Amino acid sequence: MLKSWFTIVFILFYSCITGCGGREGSGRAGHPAAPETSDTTFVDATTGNDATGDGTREKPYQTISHTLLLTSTKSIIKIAHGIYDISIGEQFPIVIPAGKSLTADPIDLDADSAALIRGSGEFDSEYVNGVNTVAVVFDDADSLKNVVIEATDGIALWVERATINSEIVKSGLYASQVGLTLVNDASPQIIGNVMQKNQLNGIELIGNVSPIFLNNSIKENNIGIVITDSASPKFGNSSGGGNNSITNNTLCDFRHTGKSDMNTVGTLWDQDIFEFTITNSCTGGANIVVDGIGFVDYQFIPSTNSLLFQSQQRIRMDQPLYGEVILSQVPSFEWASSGAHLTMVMIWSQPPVVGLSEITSTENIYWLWHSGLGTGGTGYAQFDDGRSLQGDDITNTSPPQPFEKGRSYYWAVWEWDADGKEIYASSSLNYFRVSN
Amino acid sequence: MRQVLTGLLFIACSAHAEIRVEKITVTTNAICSPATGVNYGTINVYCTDPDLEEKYRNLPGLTKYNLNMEKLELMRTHVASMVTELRMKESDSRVTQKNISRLRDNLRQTEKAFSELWRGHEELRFQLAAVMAKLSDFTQGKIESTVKVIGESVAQAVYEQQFQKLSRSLYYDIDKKLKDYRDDLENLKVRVDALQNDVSFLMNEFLEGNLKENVGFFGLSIGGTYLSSAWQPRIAIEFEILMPKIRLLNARASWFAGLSHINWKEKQSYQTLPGSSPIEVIENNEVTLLSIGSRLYMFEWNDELQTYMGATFGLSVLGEEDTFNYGFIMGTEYFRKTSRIALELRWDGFSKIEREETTFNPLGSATVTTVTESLNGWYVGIKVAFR
Repeated sequence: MLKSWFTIVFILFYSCITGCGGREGSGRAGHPAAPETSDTTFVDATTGNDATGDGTREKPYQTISHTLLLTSTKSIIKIAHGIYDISIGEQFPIVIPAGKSLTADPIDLDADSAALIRGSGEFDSEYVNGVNTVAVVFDDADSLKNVVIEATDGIALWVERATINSEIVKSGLYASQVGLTLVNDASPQIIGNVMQKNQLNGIELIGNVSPIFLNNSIKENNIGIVITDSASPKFGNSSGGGNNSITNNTLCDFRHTGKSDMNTVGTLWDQDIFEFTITNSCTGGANIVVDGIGFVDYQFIPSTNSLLFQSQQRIRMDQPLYGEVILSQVPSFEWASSGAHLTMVMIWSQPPVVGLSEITSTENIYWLWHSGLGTGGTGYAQFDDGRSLQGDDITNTSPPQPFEKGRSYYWAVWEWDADGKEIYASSSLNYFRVSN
Repeated sequence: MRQVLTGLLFIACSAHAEIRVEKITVTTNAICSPATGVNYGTINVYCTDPDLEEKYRNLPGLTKYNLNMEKLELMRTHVASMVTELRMKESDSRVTQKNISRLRDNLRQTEKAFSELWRGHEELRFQLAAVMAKLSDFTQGKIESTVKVIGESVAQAVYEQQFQKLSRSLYYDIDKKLKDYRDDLENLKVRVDALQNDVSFLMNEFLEGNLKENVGFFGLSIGGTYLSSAWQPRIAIEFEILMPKIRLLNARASWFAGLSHINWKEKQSYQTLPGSSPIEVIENNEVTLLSIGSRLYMFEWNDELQTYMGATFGLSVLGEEDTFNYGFIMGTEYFRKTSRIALELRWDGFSKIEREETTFNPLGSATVTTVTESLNGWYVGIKVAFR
């Protein structure tokens, strides 16, 4: 049974690693462990003991719920890999109060090991009528990190209160009725998590919540995200895509029944953003459903007027043309070079985030070519002249992967001055679509 | 019968040891003929009558005249000797106060001798004037009887009268020569004073601890400081004051203030796109420093070479902001009559130097960061100083 759980956890986190490109360490062995300071109380489901433990590394407690009852518990509660359920005396729901952080070491893929909280209990929210069945309640806590939560008959994680400084990071909310529920005016940062295989909703946003979603993967739920009331989550926009992935949810990926307008540009959907339209019926795996009065902006159509970088000279992009639908998955690229000796051509699967003088997002670089490769020529590059980027290190590349059919891509060209310091010439951000 | 007698006077009359030949024409009678100038300008008298000749020769005036001439000749020799010595010292960069003092002593003695000679010459002139006043009635042809009648003093007077024109010429000549020598001595004094202002003289005085007052020098340094893996050219001007010996510390020291400028070029190389050649840029960091410092003159190898050590502290006034500069100096200096030239080695430190570090950014403009760090390195340069 345990083995099977770890297999699930493995799949879940592996999906996250490969799909959602978290901003922190992926959780593989060798990555930095969660911080251990003098502010840490240790809990270990396997070796801990609530009766004889003292919360030190050498003598950890066994259950999280017991630890949270103690006044001596420090601000960071570090739980060891293992299963925290009623069999060891865990009591649900586990309420993480203000000033506390629940954290674990990243999942160890090699050892199929993670910190898993499994179970549920009744929780009476101050803000929502009725009693809910919940595994973990985030009640104005500081953070929740590297934890997998399962509540087969309820909600994995209930966020009752959270400020913008609160973080829910790289955790898995899995195989529950609902993965994550936020109520009232909670506004935590939700980064690099996976909400997968929840029977109802991956995420529910109720009330005036305004969380920030970055690099999350919401997939294989009945409905990916349900937004109600005045909830106004942030998924990123053209100047800062959230890079969330909302895919393969059974009824629909994104259901907006609330009042707020929102922007989901920078989200990966089942279909290319230029391939689908918003509907009002959450059926058949629709991408975006709006059955409230709020508006969802999901397409980013770059402007040809402004350049990607402020520069002295404009680079004209000749092939593919702006918004062109191309047939080939391995196209060639042509542009009118300024003649500078340092040139970069970059293609993204999502709109890049451009700061004042640099591109700040590296997650979605799909293909690149630059003058240092020694291939191509001035103003042109064949598909095979370029490379695919591995991670965010430009020196770490691999042979290029053909563009996916039915997907849009953004591309731009820029060239540096002779010193390689300033961008001397730049194109606008262009886009093209690979035909199905 | 009057006879024209021509005497040649060979008188050395120049302080520069040049020989000037003068021809003096005197008129006398036939009884006796004065022949002059055959021996350093003294006068010898030749008469047909040996007794008369003897009397003439023993006349006090003539004797005194000759004595004066001999003294004059001695002084000429002495002055010539002093001139020679002065010339040697003027061309000698190692001249010291001691040497000059000896020359000054000689000069003083010569001046004294000159004064005595002048006084003797005046006395002789006075004596002659008195005698000639008494014998104004004597006429030519009565010399012999006059000598017999009034004795030697009269004979002397007759002689003086007889040779008065010659005497006037000769005394005038002595006057002139003495005045020339007086001028020469004055000239000598001026030249000795000038000699004392020579750099080599001053340096020797300073190194021997004999300097009586501050002496200033203007200096120009050109060299390079090894910073940022390259020699950075540095030019400096300074004003240095050598101070009299500090008795308490038994030290010979100077202090100086100066302005220096470093044209600090730093070559930067950074990678750009993988596979592209690194880019090399040269960054110019101009630094101008206002410094003060002190040198301690410690080792005197010989009369032309000495070694000093010192320290300097400065603050940037242009270019790099608020950079504090410190240096420890060691130099070896060669000095001559008009200048000093030093090879200076120095440990040069800078408390705060800003430089740009460029990190290429494949996703946009490069990141150029300003790094502030302390730097130090060796300076090697040449310093030339003048009064």
